[in-house]
Amino acid sequence: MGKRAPIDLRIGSAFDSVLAAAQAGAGWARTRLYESLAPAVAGYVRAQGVSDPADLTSDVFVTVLTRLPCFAGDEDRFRSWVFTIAYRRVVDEWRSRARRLDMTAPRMEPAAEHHALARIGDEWVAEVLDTLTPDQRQVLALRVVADLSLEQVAELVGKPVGAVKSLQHRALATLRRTISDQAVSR
Amino acid sequence: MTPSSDGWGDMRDDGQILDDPLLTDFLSGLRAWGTEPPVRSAALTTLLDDAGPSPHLDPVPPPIRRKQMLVAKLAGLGLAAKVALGAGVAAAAVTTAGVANVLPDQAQHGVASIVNAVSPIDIPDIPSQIGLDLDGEVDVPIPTTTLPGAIGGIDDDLTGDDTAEDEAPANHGACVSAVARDRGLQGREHGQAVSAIAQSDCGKEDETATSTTTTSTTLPEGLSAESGPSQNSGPGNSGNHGQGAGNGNSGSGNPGKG
Repeated sequence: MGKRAPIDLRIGSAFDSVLAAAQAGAGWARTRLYESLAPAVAGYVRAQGVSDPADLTSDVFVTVLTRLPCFAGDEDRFRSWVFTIAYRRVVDEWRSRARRLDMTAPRMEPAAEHHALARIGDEWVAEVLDTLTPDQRQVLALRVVADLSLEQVAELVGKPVGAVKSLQHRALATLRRTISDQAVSR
Repeated sequence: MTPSSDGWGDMRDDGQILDDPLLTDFLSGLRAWGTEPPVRSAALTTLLDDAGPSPHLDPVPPPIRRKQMLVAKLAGLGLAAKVALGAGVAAAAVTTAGVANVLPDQAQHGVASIVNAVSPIDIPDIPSQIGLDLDGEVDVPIPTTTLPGAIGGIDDDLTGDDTAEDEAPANHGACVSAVARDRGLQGREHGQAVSAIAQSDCGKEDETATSTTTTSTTLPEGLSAESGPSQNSGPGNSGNHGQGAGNGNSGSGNPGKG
């Protein structure tokens, strides 16, 4: 498995020209930007247990494309910017769900959960993720799925880098313990 | 950010997860969630496929927006303009029906006799079939005789129909009165609107048909400039009478003299 395995969809050195074309309204360039990040955004959103990950991911990219003329920066900055929008949408989803159901932690809706069961291992991943606190879950998904650095995550969630590192450490410890307990019980 | 500082690489490189194969499996499964292209919504598909200007721009209003703009524009018209517009549309419709010779016989004659006299349009007439004497007075209560009587200035003997005589003036008067009471316009514009509606065929059932050409062509001018032509083209003195009503009710303009 490579460093950014399994798939590296980054645009690379062509990013500046693609961004310029997308900001000028070229459909192919917008599609290229979308394809470079949409799977990761969908995975991140899904890891947060939102009810309709595909729909929320589309909403995120509608916002991204609408605000695209205002963006300036390189591909890493673009990645961080897109996930900032996604993060805020997820937080909005949590808040609205908390108002409706008074839930303390996000959890997949039955329909989304059922969809996840269609793939081997997805149920287990979702089940283990449910053992994390929302903050731990957030940091873990941003680090593993979104591929963001500690500094980027810290900026995105509005916490010091040390706090993010601590959340990540506790998340991994919880996961290790949970997985170990499951292995013993089985 | 350097290439070595991404999330997954950091976590693998710093040894946090390498010592636990189960944890590595879990994180690999979680990371695999970020490899599947999601289903696009319709709105997103539109944005991605659109090869035109940036989505920030809003170039040409779509048809539905143009409809909304038209409705909003009509809704914003003053009462006088709405009444005049309605009268013009109705008049045009009756004239068209007259040209097509699809009106009832009496109405057809009324329309033909007036339109043929005041316009170059040649509408088929059928006097012999309904027993009219074109050299004399009308001997049947066709709608053309009903309209301007009670408002004044018209020869009531021409109508020969008391019912029509009772109804038509009330409707026309209501039209004029409504415009006169409308405070959407002030001063000269208000006077002109009252004058125009008084000279129009609003509320005149079949007179609308007889003066179709005049109404449909002069109303827009009547609202914006002089309304003289309609005074002379209509039958009787309805135009003059309407002017008088406009003066009386508005009290704020000099509609007849503009």
